[in-house]
Amino acid sequence: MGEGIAAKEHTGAMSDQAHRFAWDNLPAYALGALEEDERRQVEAHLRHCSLCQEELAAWQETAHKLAYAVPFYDPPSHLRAVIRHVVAISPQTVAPAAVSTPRPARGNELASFLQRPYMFLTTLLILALGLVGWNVRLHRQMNTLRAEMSEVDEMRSVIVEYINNPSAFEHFTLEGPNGARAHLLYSSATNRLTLITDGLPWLGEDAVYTLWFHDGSGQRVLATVFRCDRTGRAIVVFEPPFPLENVTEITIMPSRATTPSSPVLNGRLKRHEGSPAIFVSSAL
Amino acid sequence: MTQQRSDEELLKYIAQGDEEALVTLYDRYGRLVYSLAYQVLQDHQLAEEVTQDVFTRVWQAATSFDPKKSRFTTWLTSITRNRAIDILRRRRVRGLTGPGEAELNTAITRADERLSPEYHLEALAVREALRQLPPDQRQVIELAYFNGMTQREIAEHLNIPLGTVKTRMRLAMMKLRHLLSPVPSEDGKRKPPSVNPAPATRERKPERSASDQEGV
Ligand SMILES: [Zn+2]
Repeated sequence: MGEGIAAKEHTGAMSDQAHRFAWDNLPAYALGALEEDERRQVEAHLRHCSLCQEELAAWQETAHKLAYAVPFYDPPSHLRAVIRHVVAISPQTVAPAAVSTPRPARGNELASFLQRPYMFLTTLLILALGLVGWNVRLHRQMNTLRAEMSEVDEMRSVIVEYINNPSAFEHFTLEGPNGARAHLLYSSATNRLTLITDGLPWLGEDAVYTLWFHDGSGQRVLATVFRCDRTGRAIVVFEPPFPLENVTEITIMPSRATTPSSPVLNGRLKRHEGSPAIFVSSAL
Repeated sequence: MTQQRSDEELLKYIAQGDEEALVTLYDRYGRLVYSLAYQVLQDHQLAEEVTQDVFTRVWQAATSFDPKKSRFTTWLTSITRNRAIDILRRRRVRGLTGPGEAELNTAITRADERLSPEYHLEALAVREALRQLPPDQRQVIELAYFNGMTQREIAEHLNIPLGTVKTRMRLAMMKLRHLLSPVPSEDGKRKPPSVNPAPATRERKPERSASDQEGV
């Protein structure tokens, strides 16, 4: 049974047969229960049969109501914040059929901005953080970037301020294996932290990293979410979830379980008398 | 106030880059997505990942959602289910077959006063409909939907003929569709199916009789 369908001609008889085959298999198709070859046959027919398309929509509605039969669990409370962060840095795709181009939203602007001068800037900053003094050339390059960066005032102001007055920031670093590194710049004047990373493992296009603060009582709080480029670089400005002096440990880890989910960077905060505090990375 | 917006309205805002609209949608359906993913994967961390992916996907693809083609919740649960099954296949782990009898009976009470009334009603209706299926029919659709098994895999798993699986699946789906299809109300708007349908007076479809003894 079913062999006759394999023929590809579009004769009336054949498409009748194909219609019959698809029609009968739509419930199983909606449940995702067809074999690969059957599924392809159904899909080939669906492309030009509006009758079957309509029927399928009804079966799909039925199939996916099964979702409501499961026992309900509350998602972990931090997930809401993770999702909020993730969408803030995720570009939206525009539907091919869209007639009017919607005004790009803040998230979009940020996302497209992040793809260009931002990465160059991160590179500069990473360089700069390794330097003792500022050199003029770097300063000039920064100035040319200013114009391009007008969209993201906060990031710009942090960077410009850091260039002009690095001593206004506390600077922490956290080092991991294989050159993974994170810098945290804290400005008490604005209560803003700037995280700059380098060399974090590439997780793929869609994956994001999460930064967690531990408060010493066993609680960890999501501080921010960020996405790196292929060299593991990222820059993000955020407000610390609780006062920095209460942070006992920080962790940077992928937000996904299917990619390596263990911490990439993890360390304790140590403050040294009279010198900048540093995060000392623990063994990983 | 955003609570009052329909799913479709929220999607329009989301398509324009409104992050708050997405969070509102998450507040409305995060639990459903998370619970479905957990049911499939039996792992809280993976369920979390799926939930994050699903809402990112909604964010990214909101402009391509067409409310004329399907209900938003159908779209949402299908993304969730497919994503979870993908991971399940990759891991080649089989979770439970579906919500067990005990869970069907207790879940709604133990779960959610926090669920919206429509959601609550929908859950009651689906559980009631599943209870009305003969156990062997119900088992077949649960293996497909929650475990991602194809008809052939189900036949092997249960050690029964493929034709039997196909028949059971078809009968189960027909019955569910019948029980769960929205009944048009007087104002022409769809309303959720009643929880205790009067069996004799509902539509056509004789399906318990001759057709119920399975093929092969
Ligand atoms: Zn057709």
